[in-house]
Amino acid sequence: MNPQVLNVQSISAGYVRGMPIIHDISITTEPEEIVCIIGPNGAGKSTLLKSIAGLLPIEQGHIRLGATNISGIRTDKLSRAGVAMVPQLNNIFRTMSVEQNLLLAARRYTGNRRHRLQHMLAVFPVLDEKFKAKAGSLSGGQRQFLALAMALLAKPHLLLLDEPSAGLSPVAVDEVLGMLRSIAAEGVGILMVEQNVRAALPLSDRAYILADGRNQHEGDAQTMLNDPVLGEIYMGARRAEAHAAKPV
Amino acid sequence: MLQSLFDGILVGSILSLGAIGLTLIMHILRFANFSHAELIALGAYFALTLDAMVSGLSATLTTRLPHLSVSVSLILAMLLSLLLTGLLAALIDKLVFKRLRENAGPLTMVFASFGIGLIVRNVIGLIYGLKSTHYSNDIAFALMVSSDPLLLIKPDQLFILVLTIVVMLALHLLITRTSIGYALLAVSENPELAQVNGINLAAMIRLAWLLGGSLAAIAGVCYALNNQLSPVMGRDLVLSLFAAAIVGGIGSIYGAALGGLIVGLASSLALLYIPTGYKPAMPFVIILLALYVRPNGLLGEER
Repeated sequence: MNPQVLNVQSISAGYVRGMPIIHDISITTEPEEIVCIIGPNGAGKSTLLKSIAGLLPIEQGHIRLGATNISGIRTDKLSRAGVAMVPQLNNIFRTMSVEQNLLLAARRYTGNRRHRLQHMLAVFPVLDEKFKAKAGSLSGGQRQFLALAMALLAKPHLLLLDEPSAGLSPVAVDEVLGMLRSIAAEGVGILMVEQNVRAALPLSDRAYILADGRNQHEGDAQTMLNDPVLGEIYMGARRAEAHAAKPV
Repeated sequence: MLQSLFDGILVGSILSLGAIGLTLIMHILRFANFSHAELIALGAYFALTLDAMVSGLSATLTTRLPHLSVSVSLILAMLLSLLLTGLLAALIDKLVFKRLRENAGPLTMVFASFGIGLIVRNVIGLIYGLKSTHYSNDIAFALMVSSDPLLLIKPDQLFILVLTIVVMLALHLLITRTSIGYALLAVSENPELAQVNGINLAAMIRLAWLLGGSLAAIAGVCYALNNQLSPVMGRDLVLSLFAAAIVGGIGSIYGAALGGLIVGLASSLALLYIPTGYKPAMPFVIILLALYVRPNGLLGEER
């Protein structure tokens, strides 16, 4: 019995063969666990998610989904095997209707698709209201809900989220991130890349810090959030900005 | 004016069929395929050969449809040709473009497409000769639908118009009512996201070539019915096809259909105001106008 839904062991990967962006990274995620990956721009966070999803070739190491080695497996096969991903940008088909987006995503589900779709519409009622609308006409938060619903339609074991709060209003950030705990409670392991550290860490169980394409630190998310040294290194800029904005 | 409108719609509907395949491949594979127009010529010539073969099977197959110069054998030949051209388009991708997109950049693929276009055009010339030819030597007389304003329509032209409308409706049903159609739309909009949603990209690329090649073959037969078969018919159409795809918005199937009609109409109506010699320049003018007014095309998404 393997308790980990995801086990990434010492992988190196990148966009061009022979020029890896991430080096020797190891990460695990358990069912019902929310794991956050943080780090500065260019640290390789999105590259890591794309490598796990099969969108980028792995040069060394291996990735296991439960007990199965999924290294080198095609993205579409992975998505049917239980790996769902919500990319940061362009994560819905804008020219298609909400209905078409959902029906397309539901093709991966092997059970009763109609029931699964009804369940998703109950979880995200705003999508029911906008069912016939063009997906490109949705607001930022609604788009993120649609992207989440599309990812969850296949009942995944692992959900990969690339900056789910990017470009959202503060209210929408709360709404979207607020959904994650209930999604995880259904047995889904969530691996999330997020720049908005102060919003993401409080709801995460564990976190990894990436810099220069390498694991720099890992640990309990709450401990990390309150760690003054890590806070200074990875959240210091924000504090300094806030300080500078105060009237003298 | 009325005659120009009809001629424009007719040519436009043929261009639309050709432009759909072009825009799909251009958006999914991110390269301008200059050999796509040669599939139109290939489809037309395949139908010519197959027509001769099929009509040899039985004399009844050579029977012409009422009022048309189109025989039963030509219709059967066209069906076989669209399958053959689609398969050949997929084979060209497998042998040439697939290898290049794995090992080279988009610019290499563009140059390779020029090369393939040249090869196809010259092979057609070698096999069939450089002279123009027709599917039927019967003279098709135009019917005077109206004398003032003048409107002359050949029955074959009505057949072409009905055929292109039926094909476009079938395509519309395919992409709006079937899951394979949704998948094709998804891949044409965002290949990476399509894969994340369980769509086999390689299979969809094959389908796009198959579909694009088949539509090009129908366009080729229609163009040859309306004009004549010539080894350079692809070269003559290539700019108009690109203009249609760009005006409609790269990647948009409906945009390509609309773009084809706009290019056909604009080229036809322009002849009312400018000398015939300037007609070949019309696609350039349309491309320039489209890029100036709406760089993403009429139905294209901002990128």
